[in-house]
Amino acid sequence: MKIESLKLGNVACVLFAVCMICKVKPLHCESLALDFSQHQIAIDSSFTGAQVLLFGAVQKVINGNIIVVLKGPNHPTVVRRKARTAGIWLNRNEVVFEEAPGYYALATSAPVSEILDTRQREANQIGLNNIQLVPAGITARGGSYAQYQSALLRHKVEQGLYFEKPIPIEFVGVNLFRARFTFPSSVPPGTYRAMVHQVEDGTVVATGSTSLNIRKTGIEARIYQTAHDSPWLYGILAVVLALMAGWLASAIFRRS
Amino acid sequence: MEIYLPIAEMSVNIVLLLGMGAGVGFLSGMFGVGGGFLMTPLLIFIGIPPPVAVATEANQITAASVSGFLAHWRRGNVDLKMGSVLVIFGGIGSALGVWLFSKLRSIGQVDEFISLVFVFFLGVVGALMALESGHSILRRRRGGKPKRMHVHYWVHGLPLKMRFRKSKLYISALVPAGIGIFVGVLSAIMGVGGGFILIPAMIYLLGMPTAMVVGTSLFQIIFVTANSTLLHAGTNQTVDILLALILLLGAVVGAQFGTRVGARLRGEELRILLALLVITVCVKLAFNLLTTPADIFSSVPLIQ
Repeated sequence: MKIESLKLGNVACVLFAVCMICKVKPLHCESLALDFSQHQIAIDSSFTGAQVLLFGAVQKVINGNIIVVLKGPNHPTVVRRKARTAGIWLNRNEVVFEEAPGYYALATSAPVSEILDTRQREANQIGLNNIQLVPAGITARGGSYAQYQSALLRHKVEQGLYFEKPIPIEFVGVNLFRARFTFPSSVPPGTYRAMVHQVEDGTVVATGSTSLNIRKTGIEARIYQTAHDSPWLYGILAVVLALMAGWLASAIFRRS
Repeated sequence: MEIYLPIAEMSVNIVLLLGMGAGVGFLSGMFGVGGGFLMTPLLIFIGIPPPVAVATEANQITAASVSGFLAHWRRGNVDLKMGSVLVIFGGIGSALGVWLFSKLRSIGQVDEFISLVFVFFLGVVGALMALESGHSILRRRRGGKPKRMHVHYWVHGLPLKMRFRKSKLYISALVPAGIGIFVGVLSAIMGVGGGFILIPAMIYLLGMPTAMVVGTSLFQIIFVTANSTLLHAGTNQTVDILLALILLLGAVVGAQFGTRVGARLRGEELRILLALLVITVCVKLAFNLLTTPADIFSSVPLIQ
């Protein structure tokens, strides 16, 4: 994967523009200038994952800390819990998490608990335990909701889609910062939104957001689209393809 | 070498997939089983989402079965008349199975039912086949009396007799019809071709010659799996054509060799090997059900 070099000049221009806007508008909370090293990640047949840098600039010398939350599209997930029934381990209960993000990464410039208090972290969905998962159909027996939630988080961490520890934010010079995000090959396509907060003494003084698009291209996109746009036609194609492939193989082996 | 699968939405090593396809294809060609009961757990094991694994596997078995079926067809080892009866009643059975499946789902706990049905049938079928084929191998070694052409059971006394020239059988059409329905129901519920039930049923209930059984079973499996592929693609969009294509590339090659090896083995040797395979899978499944899992939670993408 290529990481485009940051064009400092551009950032400076954006920065200047942001400063001007801020001066005109009497905002409580100032805006941050942000950019990804690439705005588009193409998933083709050789896709094995990707890395992207998020760059940001603040107007003055950086005071306080920076928090970045990068969230992917929703990926409704079912968490099932096995229980022993008459000596046999079987799936007994399940909780559906309607709004589990397909990707969630937090980047901070210091331990997150030192930057914001619990209430603010909850309000802004900062940190794994504050992600709003919107569970549906909680079953009375078979453990509490919290167990299902922590199981979901654990599985997502194992899949490389969530991260146990915040990603460190590096400072470049006095008013630039950057964070490196990693995506596994199983990353769900869609729009990824980064929310950035600059915090001083427990208060957010500036925020900003930017997005990144991950999408399938070429034959991968064709196959996916056909499967979803005309599923029955796709099914017929799959069967015909299988019949032909079987026949072809048999014909080849007959000659040899 | 990694390849990105568009429906499974992940990248997997292509050599690993080809190898898995070849291995399962080999067994498929040798025994005439689709291999779904082996491949689906393997796919889930390497991280393919279970709904995609089940649906894609159906598609891949169709191709492997066509290739295996044609090889047997050229050797004259297919009883088309018997196969057609099985296919027609198999269709009725699988419609019944789909209905039963949705009923079970509305009651809840469909997963445990499937696991138990799996272990039960694999266990019973495997044990019966092992006993019978072991017995006949011993009898041949001792040089016992020559076997009759086929054994007569009570099922052969039923009405509506039909002549199956290829299998040298004159039996009631109700027997293959019943087997067809039964296998259709099971394959719809369990998401497999049903070869591991069909083959013993054809040998022990119908009394078909072992040589004829494999090709005829593959003929029936083509239709059953083509039907499930279509249903899965149409309703769940979980068939990954690229994954199926890679698996079947390995499988069709494997199936050709499997058919050759299978043709060299004696009927009872083939049966005892299949019995051992079935028992192994059964023990593994039973082990999973009985031992405390490392993680009692599992999470899968929701499919509406």
